[in-house]
Amino acid sequence: MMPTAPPKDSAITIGDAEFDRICDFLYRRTGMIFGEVKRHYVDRRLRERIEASGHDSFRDYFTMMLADTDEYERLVSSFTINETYFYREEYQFRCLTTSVLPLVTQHKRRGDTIRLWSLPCATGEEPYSIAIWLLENWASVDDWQVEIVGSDIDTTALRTAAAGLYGARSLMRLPTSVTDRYFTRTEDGHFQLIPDLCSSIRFTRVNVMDRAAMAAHGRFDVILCRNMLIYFDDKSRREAIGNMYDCLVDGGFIFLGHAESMSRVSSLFQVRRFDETILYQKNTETAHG
Amino acid sequence: MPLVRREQTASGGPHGNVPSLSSQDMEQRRQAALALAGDGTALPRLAAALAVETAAPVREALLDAIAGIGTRAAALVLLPALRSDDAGVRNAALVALQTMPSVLPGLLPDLLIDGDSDVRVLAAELARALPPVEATGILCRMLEGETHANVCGAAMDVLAQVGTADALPCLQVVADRFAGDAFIGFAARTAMARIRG
Repeated sequence: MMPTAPPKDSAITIGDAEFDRICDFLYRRTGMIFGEVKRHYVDRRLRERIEASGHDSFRDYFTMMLADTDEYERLVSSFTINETYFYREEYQFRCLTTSVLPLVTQHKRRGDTIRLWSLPCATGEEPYSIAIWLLENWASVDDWQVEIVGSDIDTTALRTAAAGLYGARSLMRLPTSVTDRYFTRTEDGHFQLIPDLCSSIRFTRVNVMDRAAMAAHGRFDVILCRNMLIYFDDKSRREAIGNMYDCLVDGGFIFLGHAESMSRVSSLFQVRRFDETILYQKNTETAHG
Repeated sequence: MPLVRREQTASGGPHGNVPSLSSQDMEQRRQAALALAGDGTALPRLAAALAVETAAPVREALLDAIAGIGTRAAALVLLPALRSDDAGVRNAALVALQTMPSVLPGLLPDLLIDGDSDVRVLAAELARALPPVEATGILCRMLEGETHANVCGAAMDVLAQVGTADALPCLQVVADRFAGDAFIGFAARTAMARIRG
């Protein structure tokens, strides 16, 4: 296969072997998988990093990046889709209601509280998605007190989340009927979440590496921590996973992003395979391994 | 609407009581270990606890706490776990040691000539945590004299990921030495191809 043509203002070419090498590197280091169908996406971001770091070839850049932790993180960040939207990775919400919550409620009494934590919640699309998904798709929702907390390290993002005001692009995956039910359209074309829903989510600032701050949030039945661990090195990832472990009830679940895994860095959880996705469960039966 | 919002947390979190490494409660022991993370003066207590701990979550916290101390003495406490019969313990120790790259260069030469080939395999994997030039040098020196195919394979796997061009002659020598071993030949060719880019 021929190398992808560089943009007009770039002389950098990514060859097939270089493409394979960066894909292999990213897979082994982050779990992110990029194949031929992502060739253009990978090439573009890689060329941007090569140019931004002052290099003019993949070989020089790659050698430098292997020894430069900061550049490694910038490279990984450039491959992470930062954009988020309502019902992103919807199959995980489906798994939540079809498989996880029935297990979570097995040992609860009707009327008990179920606690779910969206971490990091960014600008709020995920915790609000959880709320909307439960209201729309979980027949038992009225039997329980559902507490949803959204946390992030970025206070600007948290302010946006609390405001509940979104552009049309954030709502692109929501059925019109859902949009009509939970949003009102503003004069400038944005969408405002209804006050009942907005006020039902508690937003807090937390650094996942801060054990005491994490512990202050209490214990949760489910933590959604999607597409965050790929930003961390192994040591930090291990620490973050440990902190989340301590914030789960026994038998609690963690949702990670589709390309993430904690199997290599932590033995604290049992891998649970469901029809829709793979999850990690805090299981006291594994405590005496 | 069945969604509730509470400003106060529903539970007191995992730090409700003063934790102790000798507590009967696993969570308490885990919290005690985490509370001592990086405390060099606690190394003897952490080491003693690690020697008898059987609960994986506590053991992982102990390993992290010891690794957080970051000294050679702390690393020496972790090394026996590389010989454990329990794969989970070996892997947990490996991961903990990989977070101590500053002390690894002083430990790896002995580990890479250990009499136990399984330990040498893990030692090769530990080199992954070193800077590429350092990892390449250490692993190539090991490969010069290594005769166990699995150990060579492990070292070449690491070199394929972090090795520099300085590893190419060494990889060719290993491929020639194991000319009858299809796996080693494949591993060497793969490593060389990746390094060449």
